[in-house]
Amino acid sequence: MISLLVLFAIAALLYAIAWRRGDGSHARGLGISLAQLKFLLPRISLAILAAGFIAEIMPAETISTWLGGESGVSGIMLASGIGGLVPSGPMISFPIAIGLAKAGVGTPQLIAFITGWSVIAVHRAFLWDLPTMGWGFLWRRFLVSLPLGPIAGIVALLASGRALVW
Amino acid sequence: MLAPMPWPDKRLVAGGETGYGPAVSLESSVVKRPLHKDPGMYVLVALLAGSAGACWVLLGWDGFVAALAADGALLLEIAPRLVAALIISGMLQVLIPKETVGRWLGGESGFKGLMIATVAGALTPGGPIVSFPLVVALGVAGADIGCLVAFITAWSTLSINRVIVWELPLLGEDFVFYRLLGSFFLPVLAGWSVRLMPKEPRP
Repeated sequence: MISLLVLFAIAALLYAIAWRRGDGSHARGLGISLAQLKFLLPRISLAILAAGFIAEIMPAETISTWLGGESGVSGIMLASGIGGLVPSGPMISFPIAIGLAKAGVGTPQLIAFITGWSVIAVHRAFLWDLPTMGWGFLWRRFLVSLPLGPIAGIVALLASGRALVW
Repeated sequence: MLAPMPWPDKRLVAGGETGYGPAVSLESSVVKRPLHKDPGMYVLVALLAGSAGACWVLLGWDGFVAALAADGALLLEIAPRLVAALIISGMLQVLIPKETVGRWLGGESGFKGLMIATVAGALTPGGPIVSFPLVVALGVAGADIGCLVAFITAWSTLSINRVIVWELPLLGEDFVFYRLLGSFFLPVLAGWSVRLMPKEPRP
C-alpha cells in the first residue's frame, strides 16, 4: 500500500516538473503513458493469466530442491543458464519468473534467472546484435556477459544475509 | 519478436542526414502495432493456451479454477501500480533529453565513458527497436566497444523503464532492491572486460 502511494507521489512530482516547463511536455508525457497502457494492458493481463497456470503445473518440489532459497550457488548458476535460454521479451520471461517465484524459487536464484535472461538473450543476439553490430561485437559481448547472471545472484545472496553455500 | 532492420539505415544513424547523434524519436519507444499483427502476442497466447490446457489436464477443473482465482487477485493488486508506473515512464521520456546522450560518449573515454554509457543505457526506454539504433548511432559517432557493451548491458539489466513497468508491480520492491544491488556494477564490469579482449577493425 505504501509503495503504491510512493509510486503515485513520484508520478505526481514528475508531472508537476513537466507541467512547470510550460511547453506541453506534461500532455505529451501522458500521451506516451496512455499509448503504453494500450500496448501493455492486454499483454500484462495475458502474462499474469499464463503465470498463474504455469505456477500451478510447475513441479514445485523439484523446483524448490534445485532452485529454492537453499540451493545456493549451484541453483544460481542453473537459474542463470535457464534464464539465458528463454528466447523472448518480458512478455514471456516475466510470467515464467512469477511462476518460478510462486513455486518457491529463492530470490537470489530468481535474480540470476532475470539477469541471465537480460544479458544473454539468445533471440536478441540473432535478431539484433548480429545484423546491426556483427560477429565481432556479438561474441565479445556474449563472453563478457556469461558470468553476469551468477555474479548478480551471488551478490544478492550475500546481501540478503544468506550463507554462501554451493 | 521483431524482424531485423535493414542496415545501415542512414535515417537512424548519426542524426539523419547531417546532424550528430541518434535520430530516434522519443515516441518510438511505443510500438504502434495492432494486436493481430504482433507476433509476440501469438507466442503469448500460445503460452497461455498451453499452460491453461496443461493445468486442466494435470489438475482438473479445481486446479484450473484455483489458478484463475489467484490470477484475478494478482491483477487487481497490480492494476493501480501499473497506472502509476506508466505515468512515471511517460514523464521520464519527455523530461530526459535523449538527444544529448549521444554527445556524451565519444572515442576512447576511459572509466568515465563506461559510467556515462551505463547511465545512458539505464535511461533508455523501450525494446531493442529503440536501443539498437542508439548503439549503432553511438558506434558511428565514435564510441568504443567497451562503451557500447556497457550501454547494452545497462539497458538490459538496469533499464529504469522495465523496472518501473514490469518488475516493481509484478515482483515487488524487495526483489528489485536486491536485483539492482547485484547488477548496478555489471555494465561497467562487462565494458571494462571487453576492452581487455583482443581488438579487431570496427565493423
